[in-house]
Amino acid sequence: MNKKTFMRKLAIALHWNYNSSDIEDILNDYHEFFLAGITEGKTENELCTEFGKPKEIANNIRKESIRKKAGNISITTLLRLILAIIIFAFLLLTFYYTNANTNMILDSIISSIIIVFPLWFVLGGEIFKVYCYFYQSSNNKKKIVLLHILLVLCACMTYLFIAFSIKDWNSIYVQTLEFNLYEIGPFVTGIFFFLIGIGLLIFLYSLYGFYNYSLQYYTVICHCIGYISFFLCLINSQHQLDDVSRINDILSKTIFPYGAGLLMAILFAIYIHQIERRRKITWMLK
Amino acid sequence: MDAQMKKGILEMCILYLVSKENVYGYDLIKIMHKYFPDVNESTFYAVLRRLSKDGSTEIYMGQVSGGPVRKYYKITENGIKYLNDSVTDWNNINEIIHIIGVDFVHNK
Repeated sequence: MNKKTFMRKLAIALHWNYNSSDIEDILNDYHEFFLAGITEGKTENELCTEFGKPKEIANNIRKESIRKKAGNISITTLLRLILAIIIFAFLLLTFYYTNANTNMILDSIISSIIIVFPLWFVLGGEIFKVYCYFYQSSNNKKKIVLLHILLVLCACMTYLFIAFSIKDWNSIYVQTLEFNLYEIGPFVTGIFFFLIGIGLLIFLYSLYGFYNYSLQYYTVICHCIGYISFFLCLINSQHQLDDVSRINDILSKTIFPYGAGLLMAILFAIYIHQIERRRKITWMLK
Repeated sequence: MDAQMKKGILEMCILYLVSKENVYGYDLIKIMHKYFPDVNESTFYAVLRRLSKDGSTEIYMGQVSGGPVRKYYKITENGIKYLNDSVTDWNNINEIIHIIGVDFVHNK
């Protein structure tokens, strides 16, 4: 391995756990170490084996910084969490204010907002991070990926459940978190609360993981916030409309934004990921 | 060596070396590696980095006659206090181990 490969691998290993200035700082230090080693008459190859694997270096630095918990969360992490909470609050507020006067055009706008925004968080907002985990060696990596996949499955199943249950049992009047057991049957209600339960469990577990194991769990927390807001908004919109045909209409309208949101989120994720990676690594190739 | 114990010891040694004379990162890592050959070099770097983030050490850019500009580490007031605390702890533990008389135990 030569210096260029070493630095590139190190940059990739540090990428996403640190902001640009931290990465630059660490890379600069190693750049200095290389210069010092070469003046001592060592080759780049020897130095690379001396310094150890880039993944191990990144892991060691991360472990050290996690030891002291206070002031440990980076500003970008905090901003993402705040953004997620703001969008969550905004969506809830929107539904309280549009409660009284809904018409068909508003319905379709609302249905688009219901699906696209939270879905960005549920499926896309942080999905590219899962991809990034494959660069790192962390004990929590597999667990985090699994949690993400479970959450996405939960969200999809909740959506499909609501869509199908309303189409099958055409006379359901859904109230906020309150189902008529005579109409839809205990089995379906069971599945429904089971799905919510799984979502909540993942949320609690990721909070636990965030405080105890790794800061990377915040991505799962973001997903959970998206999942919960998505779910609550959907329920809320049904609660407001007493006419079953209009609920059906909204649901059929939401299928398009649902798919479009998913596609947009994935494309956006790949785009952002590429840009960020290039930005963080280019300085090394100067 | 136990990971937690090792970390504390490494931290103390690095802080002490920095307190003796202002030192350049690469040299410090080399010196530490001489004393602890089993420990990965990146561990020293990680500890050093955290110490400067905590404010126990301070960074300044220095130059040895004609050489390139390098990053040097020097100890701060906080660092001296922290080092003295760890040395006190370490001595106390040593004393207790000595009083108990901990030694190798052979199988009967």
